[in-house]
Amino acid sequence: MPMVVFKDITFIYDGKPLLTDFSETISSGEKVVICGASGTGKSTLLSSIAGLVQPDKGEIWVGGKLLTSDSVADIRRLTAWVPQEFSLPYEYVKECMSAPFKLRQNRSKMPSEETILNTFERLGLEKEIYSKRLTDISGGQRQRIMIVIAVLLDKPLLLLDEPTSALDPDSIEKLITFLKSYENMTMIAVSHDSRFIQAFDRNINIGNEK
Amino acid sequence: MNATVDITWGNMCLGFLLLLIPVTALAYYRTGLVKDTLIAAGRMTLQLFLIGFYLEYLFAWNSSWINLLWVLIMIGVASWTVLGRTKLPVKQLFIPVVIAFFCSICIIDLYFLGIIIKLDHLFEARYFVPISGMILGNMLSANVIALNAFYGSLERERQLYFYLLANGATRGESTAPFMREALIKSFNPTIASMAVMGLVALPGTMTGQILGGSSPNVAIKYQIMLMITIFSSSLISVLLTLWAAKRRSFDNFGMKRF
Repeated sequence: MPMVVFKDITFIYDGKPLLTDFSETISSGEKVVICGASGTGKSTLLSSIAGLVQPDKGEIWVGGKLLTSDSVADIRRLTAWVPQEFSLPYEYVKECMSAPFKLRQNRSKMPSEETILNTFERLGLEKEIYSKRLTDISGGQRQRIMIVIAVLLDKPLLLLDEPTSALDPDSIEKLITFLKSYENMTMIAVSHDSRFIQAFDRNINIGNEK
Repeated sequence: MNATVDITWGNMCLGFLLLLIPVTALAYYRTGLVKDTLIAAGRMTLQLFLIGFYLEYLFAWNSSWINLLWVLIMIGVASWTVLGRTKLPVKQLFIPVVIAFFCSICIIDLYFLGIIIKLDHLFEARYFVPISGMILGNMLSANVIALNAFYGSLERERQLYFYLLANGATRGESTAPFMREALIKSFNPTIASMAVMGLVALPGTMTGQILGGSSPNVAIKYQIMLMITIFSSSLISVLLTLWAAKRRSFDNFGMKRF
């Protein structure tokens, strides 16, 4: 069953077409990387799945529903999104971890401390980090924390924007193994990282870069 | 009680000289606020003289309809000023802000004048006009700060807003951090000033009433009630304005229109 379908979509930016008549189908459980040169609309395409950007032409279907202003709230219940180099504005990691689970939609998914710490371990994050201030940890650690949150939200569709931009090669390997262990979760990532591109099921190249 | 000492025209001019200090400081730091300050001081002087002149007639006529019309004009001007100071689009937001101000004034005037002071005629000029004016003046500054803080933080932390939306937040939940910031920035100064009132600050109404010949006991009761009223009305108006503004500011996808 298709999880995301792009049908002849076109984005126009500053009067110029960014992406023209783009069509693609991503199946449930598939792990796909969107790659391509800078400025080709990769992040725009990813954001459009959650209705954060609307195409100027064409249709987007998510979880069997056409993305419209009426269905956008339902579609956003299916998505977990990790923006590029973003962390929540909280003082402590613990607060940051719990904040998205306080949203009405996610309350039932609130993980136990044990689950969080186990997940930390699988991504190579020391358990002590959980009690630290966000300002006292590195950019790579913050990036993995945001990914942990997104995965623990347990949504069927995970959207990752440059999830490896602040990670070293060892952490990237761990992240790939970690993400691939969630077999039923559909994952769409924007990435330039060759290991990441190779490890996922397939890539969608929307620029000139292979 | 002795009659209030009048201020001569010469001494009024002398009083204006005090403005030289803030204007010099604002000019020195190139804040771009000198022109605004001079215009505001000029407007304030002219408007107060006019309202003083007008109030004489307003009190003499004491017509409910004229008083109500006057307060409606004040609401219109306050709403216009709020949008002007926040540089938000007047066309989209004027009506929502007017409605928010009108509702807040109705709630508070009915409560304060009808229940606390128990006026026989709710629209009695001597109470209705100045008290509504005082409440509106405070609402105006609270709303300017709140709207600036709300839209400013929303712009600055756009990623957070998108993050919340894309991770299942409702419209209310996705704007809650910005509402929180607007309320904190807008009401922190009022809370601080309320806490030291009587110790650090002797409030204007009380001072005015005492200067006008009222007993300090009555003046203090009025001041306490007015502080509570002003605080509550400002908060109600900020909540209503933000609620109304949010409805106009976002499209059905939750994206900002302006």
